[in-house]
Amino acid sequence: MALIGLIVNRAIGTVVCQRYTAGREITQDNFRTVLLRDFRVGGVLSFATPMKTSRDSLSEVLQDWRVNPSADPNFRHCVWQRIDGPVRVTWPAYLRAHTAAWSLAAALAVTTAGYAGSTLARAKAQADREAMAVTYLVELDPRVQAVLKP
Amino acid sequence: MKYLWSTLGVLSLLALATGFLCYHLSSVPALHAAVRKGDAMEWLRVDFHLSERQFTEIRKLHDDYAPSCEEHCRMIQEASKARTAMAANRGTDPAAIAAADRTLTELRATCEAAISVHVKRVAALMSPEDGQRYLALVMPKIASFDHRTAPGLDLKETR
Repeated sequence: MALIGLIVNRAIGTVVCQRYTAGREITQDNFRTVLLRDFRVGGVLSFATPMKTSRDSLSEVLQDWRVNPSADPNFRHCVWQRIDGPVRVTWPAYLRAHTAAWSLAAALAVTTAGYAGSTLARAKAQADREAMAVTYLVELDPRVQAVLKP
Repeated sequence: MKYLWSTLGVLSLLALATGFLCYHLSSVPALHAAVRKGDAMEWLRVDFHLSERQFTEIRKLHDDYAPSCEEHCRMIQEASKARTAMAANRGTDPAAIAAADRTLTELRATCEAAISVHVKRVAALMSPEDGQRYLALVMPKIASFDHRTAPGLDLKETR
């Protein structure tokens, strides 16, 4: 399948950045039924074999195994593409990265807003008090009544 | 940059909510309701935490004070009219106008003393803290009321 994929990719002219996966294939298959072969043209390919493979035969296979990867002309380009690519940062990750600054900003904003809200309410209550005190005294003060009454 | 603006937005909402909450926690709804109704006695009851007994006694004090207030009012009005009439008459002796001025000033002083005694009696019926707050609020206004205009209606003569 890998050989077919490689042929197809080269045929349609796409750039394929292959990773070295032989070790993973071996690990995933638990040394059981996968036989690895290193082809000069196709690179390392795996073949599933129905036969039982003992640990000794696997050792022999690994001893015979040679990796000669062909030089990838797009390697440098692919590396830079990955470096330059957009870094995906989540919001929580962003906040975690700026925890100190945002914590300080949040504390300041909440404190200021709370203080402003309380001050505004107290100022309104005081203004209401002043207004009501005047209303109250107007009713009590004969000097004012003398001016107000016809 | 996207997260910067989003975080700023969330922070602003949080600050607004906090400010709104603190405003409501610090406001005095009963006081505002009394102000909206323009009910001075209700304001007194709410803002100075009067019990029913205190409120009844203060209302009685006010009721007892009302006749003397009206009497003072009538005397000031008469003295004021007499003084105005004298001033309007060109042949009036300036000494008589000065005497009328003095009478008016004395009446106003008597009136100010009477109202000061009255509010001190009212304050004595309140709890010590509320009584002091009440006196601190009304006494400066009594002293600074302009006698020739209708004070307080625009709050300009009350400070």
